[in-house]
Amino acid sequence: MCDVHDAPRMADMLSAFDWSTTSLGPRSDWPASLRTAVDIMMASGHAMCLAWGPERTFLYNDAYVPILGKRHPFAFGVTFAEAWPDVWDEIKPLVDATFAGETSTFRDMPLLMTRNGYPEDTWWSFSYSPVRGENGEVAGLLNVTLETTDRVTAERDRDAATGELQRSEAKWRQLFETLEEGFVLGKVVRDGAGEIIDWCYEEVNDAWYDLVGIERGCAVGRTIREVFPGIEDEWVLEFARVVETGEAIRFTRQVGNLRRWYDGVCQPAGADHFTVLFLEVTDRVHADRRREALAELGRMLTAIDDPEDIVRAATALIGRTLDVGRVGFGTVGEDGETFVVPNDWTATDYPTLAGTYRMDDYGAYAEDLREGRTVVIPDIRLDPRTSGDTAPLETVAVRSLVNRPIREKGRTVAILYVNDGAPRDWTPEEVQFIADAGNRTWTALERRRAEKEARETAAFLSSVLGASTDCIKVVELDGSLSFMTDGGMKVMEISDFNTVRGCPWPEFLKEDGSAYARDAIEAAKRGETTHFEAPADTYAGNPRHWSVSVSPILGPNGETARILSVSRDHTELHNAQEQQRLLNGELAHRIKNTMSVVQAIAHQTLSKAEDQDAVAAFGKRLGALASANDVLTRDNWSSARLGDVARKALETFGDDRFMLTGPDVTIGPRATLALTLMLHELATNAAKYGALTAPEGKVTVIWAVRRDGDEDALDLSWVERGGPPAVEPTRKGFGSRIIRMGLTGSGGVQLRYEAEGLSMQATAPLYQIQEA
Amino acid sequence: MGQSQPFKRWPVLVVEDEPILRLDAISMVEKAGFEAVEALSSADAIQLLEERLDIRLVYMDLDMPRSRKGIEIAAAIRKRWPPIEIILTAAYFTRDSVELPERAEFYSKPIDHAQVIAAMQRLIASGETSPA
Repeated sequence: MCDVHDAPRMADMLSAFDWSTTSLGPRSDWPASLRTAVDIMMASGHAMCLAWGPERTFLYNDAYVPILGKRHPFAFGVTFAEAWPDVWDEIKPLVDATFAGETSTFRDMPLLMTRNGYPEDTWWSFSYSPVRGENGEVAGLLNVTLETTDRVTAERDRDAATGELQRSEAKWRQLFETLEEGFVLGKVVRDGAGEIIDWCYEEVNDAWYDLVGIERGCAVGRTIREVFPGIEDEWVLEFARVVETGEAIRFTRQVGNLRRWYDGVCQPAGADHFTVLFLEVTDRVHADRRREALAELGRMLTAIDDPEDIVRAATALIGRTLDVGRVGFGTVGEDGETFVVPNDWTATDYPTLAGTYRMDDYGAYAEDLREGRTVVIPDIRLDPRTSGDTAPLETVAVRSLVNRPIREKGRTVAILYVNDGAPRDWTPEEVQFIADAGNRTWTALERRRAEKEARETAAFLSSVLGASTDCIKVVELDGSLSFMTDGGMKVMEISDFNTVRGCPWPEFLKEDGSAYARDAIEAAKRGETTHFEAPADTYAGNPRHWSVSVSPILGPNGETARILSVSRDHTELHNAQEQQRLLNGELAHRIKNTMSVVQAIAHQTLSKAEDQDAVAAFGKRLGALASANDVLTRDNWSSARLGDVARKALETFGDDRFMLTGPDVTIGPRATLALTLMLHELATNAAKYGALTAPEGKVTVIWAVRRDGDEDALDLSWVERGGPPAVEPTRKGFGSRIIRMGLTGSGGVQLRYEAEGLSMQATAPLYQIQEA
Repeated sequence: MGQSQPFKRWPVLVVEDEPILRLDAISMVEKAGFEAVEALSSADAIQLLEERLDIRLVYMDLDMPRSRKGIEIAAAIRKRWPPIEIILTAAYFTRDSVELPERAEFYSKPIDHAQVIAAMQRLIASGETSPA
């Protein structure tokens, strides 16, 4: 390498060196083997060095000089150990091994070398090979070197680039592996005709395995149909389309046999490849489905009327939303023990549990339900409440369950149960969904029950109203008709209520009826109930007589909101009363006529009799009797007013002679006759002997009702004033006896004959006077 | 009754369909001092009034059913023969239930003979003093 060199050439140094100072001895004495080896070395263009003899005397050629650096020329002719003291410990065993006959090779040994005026990294390969002497023993070591700096440098550059690539790859691999989304690199599988029929997993990250829930590493190299037997065709067809069209797609899809939902993006990756980035959205999808289910439930609950249909629809919805085996809704009896399930929803192969049960059949969790605690059992074999005896549940395909009690007024009134045949971890959201759905269903059922009850009540009331033959009407505060019962329309002979709706009700009544009706409306507005009788024609024009009761219908604020008018057809009664009134009139006429005939016969019979006064008295008494008759006729012979009776009895004696004072008292027919005859006799006497004989004479008749012990008594007094002193008659005739019989025919009469005139006091129990 | 001669035996028309009552009424008229003229019905009465122009008083029963209402006959008599006095009686009607013609008097059955006799004498006497 240093063909042109100022420094002494190694051949010269060899010649010039005093070898006698070394263990090699003078050059002339060197064995042929040494000389040959030195000659070969010195002639070689490759860097070589030679260690010879027992001291391993060190010789080297020109090409080796740069390797020695500053050690040259000192190293020439010294021992190997003196030439390389710094590495001697490392190389001595190799040197020794070489002298033992072995060859050693070193590749790419680094050496900092200053050969071009600056230090540089160089790499060398060495080969230590033994050199045999004349006797065949190893006499020396020849080290042939080869500089490998260029190769090593090139290799290092290449390795650095490779390392960089590897680091980058590791980084991406790590990202790929730590990606939360599942990632799949797939390649489609085609059949003989080139149709895509399947696809193969080429790369799959851990997230994908975890999302899908299968063991890591077990998908690569297999097709999707192999990994998921029976998977939906969409999983193949959709990705096939991506490969065929080169267009990415997004999707949200369930893996049916995994019950999981995924959101994903599938992108073409060239040459039948595609990538799929997956994110499991099962929770989100389920949350969406539950939310939609609750909304749907709300719509259904308002749309369905029949309670059993409500339960049927609600349980089906809950069952499909949660993808479970069975959903039922049962009501708990008042005893807290009877549990009735009218029907339930079941998935295929699940038996129905419709029927009547005892709560205690539910084992240890019945008490939880009674207390209103939701029972959530992911696996009945593991839950202490059910693990004791799982057979009753397992025979009806229940392995996992949620029972949601529904409470009302501190009592469990219903239970929504959700069963599945496999163990299941119920999420809090699912349990909440069951609770919400159960509560809504119950609320709807209660509302339906209340509505049904209201309808039945309304139907009942309506049938009661309809059954009435009274004309029952609702009248608004302004008097207009707003409602009439069917029965009412019938008796009023109205075929269509619309023909009278809104018409003023009082105008339907005749005579005083309209005024009565208006008064009754005013009274009803004040909250009063009134009653009157009035005639009114039916709508068809037939005359009727009505007994009308008018009462207020109170609004929520307690004020009269509307008015109820109930009219009963009293036509027959009214006609009967009219008939009776006519008959009474006729009877009174007949009686008086008969009296007249009796009187006429008496007059004619006794016209020649001595005592014409007696005949006259008879006629007058008959007249008095007739007057009592007149008064009684007014009220159908049942009663008369005392004042009327007295006035009538005294009528013929002159209105201006009597002062009648007393309260309005009604008296019976017997008392009417007795009082009339008594007053007639008193007045007759007064006209003959008493106050009425004098022009200024007056008679005062006073009556009053007073309390006498437990009963009321009537006092009636007759006081004559302004006439001659009264004198007790010596002879007591019929007239006197009539007076002394009193008001009831049994006495109670006191007569006082005083100077101022006669006075009489009659008393009788009021009830006797009022008796028929 | 002790009345003296000023009364002429004026004819009084008794209209009554009941025979016994008619007899009684006739004897009452005679007792009052007048001549009784009988009518069995209101039609009879009208005919007699047309024939006997000297009749000064009509005593009539309003209850007679077989003809026009008695009270209408009475009103007709008052209208047609204003000077004739009218005394009405009835068993069916009361004084308050009928509208009496002017100057007519009403006595409910059974009548008080004395009262009616007094009324007849009073009415005919008042008619006497008026210019006939």
